[in-house]
Amino acid sequence: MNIQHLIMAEEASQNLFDQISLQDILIIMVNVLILFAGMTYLMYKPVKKFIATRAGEIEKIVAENKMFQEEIKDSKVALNAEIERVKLEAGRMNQDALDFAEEKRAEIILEANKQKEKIIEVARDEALLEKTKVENEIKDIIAEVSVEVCESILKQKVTSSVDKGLIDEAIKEYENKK
Amino acid sequence: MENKTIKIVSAHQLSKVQQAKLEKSVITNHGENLDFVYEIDESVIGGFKIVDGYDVFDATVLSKVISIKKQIK
Repeated sequence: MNIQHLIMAEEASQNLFDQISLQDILIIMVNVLILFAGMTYLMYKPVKKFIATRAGEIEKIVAENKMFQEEIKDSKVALNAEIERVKLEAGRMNQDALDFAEEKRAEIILEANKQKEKIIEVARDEALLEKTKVENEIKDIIAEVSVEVCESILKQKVTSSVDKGLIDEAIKEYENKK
Repeated sequence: MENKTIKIVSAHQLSKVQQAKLEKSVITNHGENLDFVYEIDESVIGGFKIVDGYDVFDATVLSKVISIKKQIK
């Protein structure tokens, strides 16, 4: 059965090829060429152009990305250098601050010592003055008391008869004064 | 001419002899025409002082005490 069928198919195809003329083949080839040219013009070129554009954009993006990476790298180096510089500056400022503080501390201590010496000197002078004042006051009190005691004793001792002798001596003194 | 007043201050009354002697000396010193006024002031303790206006001869015990007091001070 199969062989029979094959023979029949062979015959049919033989008949088909027999029916296709050279002109048809040429027309089909021309059509195929036109289709190819149309497809090339309408699809292949735009797609190729699109792909080329995309490739260009991607290359551009890659180049930009590379440039950015370089910039980032440079920035990182610059940043590290800046950080080092700032660290050095901070260290220097810190040292300056310490030096300034030390200088101020020394000045304050010196000034405080001067003030202390001045205060001690003033206190010493005041104490001396106070001592002299007290001594004078004591001296005055002793003098007052002594004189009062002396007066009191003399008032008791200088009686009329004693005073007579004193008056005589005073008269002589007055005469000698002349 | 009006007499000049001489005041004599003492703690006790001067005797007549003392007054005469003193007046004689004062007259010799100040001249005539003097009135003598005697005043008793027990605060002078002893001796006397002669007051002639602003001129004073002070020979009282009190003046000597004051002088000693000044020297002590």
